[in-house]
Amino acid sequence: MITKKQIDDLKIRSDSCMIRMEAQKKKNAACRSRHADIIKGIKDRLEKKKKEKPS
Amino acid sequence: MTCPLTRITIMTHAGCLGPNSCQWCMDNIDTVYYSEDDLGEPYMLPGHDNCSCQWEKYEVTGIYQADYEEILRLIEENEIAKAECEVIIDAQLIIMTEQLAIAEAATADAAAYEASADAHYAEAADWLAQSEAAYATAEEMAAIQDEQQAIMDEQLAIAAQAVADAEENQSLADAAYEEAEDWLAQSEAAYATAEDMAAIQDEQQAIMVEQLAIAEAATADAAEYEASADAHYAEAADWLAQAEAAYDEAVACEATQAEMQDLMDEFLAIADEANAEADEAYSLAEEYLADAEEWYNLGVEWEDLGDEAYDLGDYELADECYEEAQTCYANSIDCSDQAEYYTQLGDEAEQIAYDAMVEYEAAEAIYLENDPAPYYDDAQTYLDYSNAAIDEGDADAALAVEATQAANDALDAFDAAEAIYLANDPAPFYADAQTYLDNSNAAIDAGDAYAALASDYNQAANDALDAYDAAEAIYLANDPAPFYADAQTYLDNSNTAIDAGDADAALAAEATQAANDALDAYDAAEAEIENQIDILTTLSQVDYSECLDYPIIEDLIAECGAQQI
Repeated sequence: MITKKQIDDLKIRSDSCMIRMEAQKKKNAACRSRHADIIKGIKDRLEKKKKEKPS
Repeated sequence: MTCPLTRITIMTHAGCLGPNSCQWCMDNIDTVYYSEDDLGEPYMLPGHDNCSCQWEKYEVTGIYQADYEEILRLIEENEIAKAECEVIIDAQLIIMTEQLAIAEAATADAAAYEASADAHYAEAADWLAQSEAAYATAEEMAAIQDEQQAIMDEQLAIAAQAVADAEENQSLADAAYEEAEDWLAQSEAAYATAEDMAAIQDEQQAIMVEQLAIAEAATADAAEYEASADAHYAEAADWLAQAEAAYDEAVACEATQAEMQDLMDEFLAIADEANAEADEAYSLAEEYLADAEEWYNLGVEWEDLGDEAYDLGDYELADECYEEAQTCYANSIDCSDQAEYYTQLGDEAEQIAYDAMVEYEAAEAIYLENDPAPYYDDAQTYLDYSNAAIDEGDADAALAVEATQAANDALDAFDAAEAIYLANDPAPFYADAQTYLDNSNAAIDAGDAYAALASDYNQAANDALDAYDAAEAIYLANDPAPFYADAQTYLDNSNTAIDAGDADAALAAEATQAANDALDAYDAAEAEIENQIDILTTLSQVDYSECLDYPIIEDLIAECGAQQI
């Protein structure tokens, strides 16, 4: 027999998880862009230095 | 037989003698005349009527006394001749018998001799044929010899002309060689003068060489010292250059190290920054993985709950639970995707950090390779070497000045010897000697050219003589003499046979002649017999007896007293 509590608990946990995921999505949206920019910037600097390095 | 009769004409001068007759008539009337062959009247009768002169003529046939006697003699002779004829005929018959026997024997001998002569003549013809064959061969060979003789004459003429040309050119060559000897003598005289002057020059040259050697030695010493000084100075400059290069290298190393240090700092900062980003990305990835696991577990729970509801028959709840489960699974997948993204991002940042460290290590290696300290040490060492070389160069330069002075002194002595040397220049005489020698050589060349022509002509003569020899060999190989000799021998044999044949023929002819003579004698005897028969016949036919019947003319003339006209 399935109890209502079981369902409610699951809904609560699901809602909680959903809330956290939504927040994470918002954070993720900014984070993804920032991290990608940072990585690209680092990569560019690295390539530039490689070229500047005396042989 | 005709009797030797004679017809005479008797003419009487008839007339009538009377008183009136003239004296002439009286003297001549009755005068009788006679003449043979009717000579006409002895004289013209005068036409006197008184005399009636006329001629009375009558002819008488008679025989002269001599003829008469001759006839008598002939009759006697005829008888004698008849007797002689018979004797002769008998003798000729004997002769005919004898000569016929002789002729037959001689004819047999002649036939035998002719047969022998024919045999000899046949032999002679055979020898003659052989002689002609040998002669023909000899003639052919003689023709070849004539042909070769013509060639030999031609080649001999060519050889003679070539020899004459060769001699002419050899004479010209000899003259040229004599001229060359004259020029050579003049050249040698000029050369001797030049040699005397050259001896003086050699003496001065020795002095010059000696002084020059001194000068050169001193100059060489000076040069050597200068070279040594220059070498030291060059060495000093080289050391200085090396010191400067080492110093520059040290400065460059310092610059490189500074540059590498900046790079290393930068690469290190990049690596640190990338590592930080990687850590953060990995942290986010772990968070998303946790969320994904949580969403998945929730999905499982919702699905279990749905199964349970379905089993219980609460299908509406089951559907609701299944929907929730699907949402959870979808969220789990979404979180997994995010985790995977950040993991990749972390990997990328970590790779960047790794690459930056690789570059850092490479820059560090360059940094370590460009340590300036050894170069600074080398630069100081080279500078010390350079200063020491400059000191040595200064010492050598002082020695070079001393050597240069010694060289100048030697060159003054050299100039004095050179003045004498130049006053005795043998060059013009050598030049004259050379000119004369050139003239001599030119004359020799001309002589050689003439000699070459002479040689060519000699060769032409030899060639012609070779051709002559070849023709002569053919000529000698075609000697017709043996064949002519054979032909002559065969001809002699033929002539001998002919002679033998002729001898036999002569004997045959002689025998024939004997036979002919015998036959001639036979014929003559026969002819004589016939002649005698003819004579006898003639004698038998001659009858002079009737002639004796005519009157004798002399008797008649005497009887009538006739005068011959």
